[in-house]
Amino acid sequence: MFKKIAPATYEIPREGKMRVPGLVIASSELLKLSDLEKPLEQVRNVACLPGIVGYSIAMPDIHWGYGFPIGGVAAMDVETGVISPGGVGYDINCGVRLALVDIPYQTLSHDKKDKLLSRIFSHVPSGVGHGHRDKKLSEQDYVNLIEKGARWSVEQGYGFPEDLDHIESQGCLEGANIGIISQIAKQRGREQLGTIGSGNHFVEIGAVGQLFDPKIAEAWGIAEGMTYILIHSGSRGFGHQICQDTLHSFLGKGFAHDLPDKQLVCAPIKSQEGQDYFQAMAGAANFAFNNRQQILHAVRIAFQEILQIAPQSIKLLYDVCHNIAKFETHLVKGSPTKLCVHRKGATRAFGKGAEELSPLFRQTGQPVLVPGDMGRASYILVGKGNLLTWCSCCHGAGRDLSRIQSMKEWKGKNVFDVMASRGVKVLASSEETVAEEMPNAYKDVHKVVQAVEEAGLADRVASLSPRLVIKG
Amino acid sequence: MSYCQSLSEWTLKKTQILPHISISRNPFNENSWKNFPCQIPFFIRGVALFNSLGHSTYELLWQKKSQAPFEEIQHTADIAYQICGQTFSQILYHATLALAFSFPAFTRYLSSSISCSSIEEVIGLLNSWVAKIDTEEGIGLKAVSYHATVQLREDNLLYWTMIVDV
Repeated sequence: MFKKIAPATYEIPREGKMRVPGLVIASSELLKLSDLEKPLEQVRNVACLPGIVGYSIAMPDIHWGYGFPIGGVAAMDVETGVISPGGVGYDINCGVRLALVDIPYQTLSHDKKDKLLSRIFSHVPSGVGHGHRDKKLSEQDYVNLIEKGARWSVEQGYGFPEDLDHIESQGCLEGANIGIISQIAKQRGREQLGTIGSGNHFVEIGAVGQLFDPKIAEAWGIAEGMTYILIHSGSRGFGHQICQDTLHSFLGKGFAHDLPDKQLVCAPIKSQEGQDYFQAMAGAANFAFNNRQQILHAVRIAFQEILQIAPQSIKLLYDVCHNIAKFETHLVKGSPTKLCVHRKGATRAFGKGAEELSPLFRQTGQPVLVPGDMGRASYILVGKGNLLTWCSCCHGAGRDLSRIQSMKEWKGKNVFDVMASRGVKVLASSEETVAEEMPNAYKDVHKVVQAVEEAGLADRVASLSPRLVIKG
Repeated sequence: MSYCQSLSEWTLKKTQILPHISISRNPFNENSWKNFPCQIPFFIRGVALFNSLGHSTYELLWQKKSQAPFEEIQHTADIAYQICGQTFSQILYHATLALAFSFPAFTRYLSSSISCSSIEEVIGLLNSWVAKIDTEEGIGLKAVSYHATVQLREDNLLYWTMIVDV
């Protein structure tokens, strides 16, 4: 079934209607441990899409998704290829941002940590139905934030201009068009900017652990033991509805004809429908950049109120998208070719010298943020610009247990106490969410990160140890 | 319907029997039960008639099992249900019921009088309700996916795997 072609890199040969082979990044141990039947079927299905080049790619955190697997990458030729909402996901530009606080975590007293967590919990709405009732987006706000991306939030006082150089694509996807986004999408998002939402989204505070590449760590301002802030959220109901509207429209037009799975429904990139989706998706991506910008602002304010740390001294290291389709130029058979790269549950991992990166990261490669789970660890990696994967990397540990399995396992137990006994204090709107998200529901992030390092996608820079967590 | 009718007639004839419904909850917390702020959906998987012999001893006199309208199934990242029904309209009703167990706001859309003629229509309606609920009060799901393969099985029922992106 698999043919090993390089370290931690396996090829799935072409069969049936597959236009390209599949490629799985994983260690032999991960391949044995994971239930891969359904996700690999999805890898094969994606390989059947028109215009796909190279491989249909699976990252080591792959699991069963919607049409495309989660942890999947597929690049389409812009002239002949398609763009698929299922290749981006419902939560358009779901992503992660990491900020650094130049204070050793250990020096914070228990009392201050408790107060900090409570203050963040009160400033950042989390969970179902917790939005900003007093901060509704107007039509003009939508026009501005879609056009300007995260810059709009900075102009409103949420953060600082220097933050923008530390966000993928400077926090703005070009080509967004508010005119084609439905009223329902706008209604869904109106009170949700600056909110985490539910599911696996979170705000996490902790301590930087081991440094694996001290030179890069120093260049990025990372020191062992220092305090970090990690934020995971996306485009909320606004993005979900844009995906839904597009799927409804594409399916109604019969675009799923001849596809192995209806959920891969797609349109030619050059068609009006393809362009419309890209423009709407870019709008949702810009909403998500603003969302994470405003969440970080609220966290900065909490640090100021509880620890008297100036917001500007909390430095944003990087913000990455992991559910997105982007136009990028890569070498195909030796020639620079414009591609539409779908990354669903996968992170861009540009290496040294990539033109799009800001000067600091052009010298080192871009930061790749890999949240693990709330008990074990997360990682900061540096991208190596791997050509086989269109400069992509994993996006997390990947789920191992279903939500039901995890709930059953923790039924009747106080999950907050269990986490506290492991040194992690958790606040959440719903105890159920915490039970679904307990560490054993995820694969071991250490193994996932080891696989991408062996495969040459990214290298470890530092590990992170979660200590204070807010869940939806 | 004929089964329901004969059961109720039979119960009425047996006037010495006190009809009642027992609802069990484990762990049972009286306060959370009293304070639970919304309607609770439920469905019946079977009817059993017991004769109470005293001292918590019961004799089973008669029972009839019924097909569950849905069953939650394993899905790694999302939530999934096996929904069954005789028609697409019933599939919609049962899917709404399934969602109402996890997302109580769906109880307000529980209506057996909405008619549907395809699975795409079912998914479209469910998603329109997701959008409404999200706008009004928020909801912990993104959408019902277009996983739209419906099987007609030997029992003459339609089966649909509903995958909900959370």
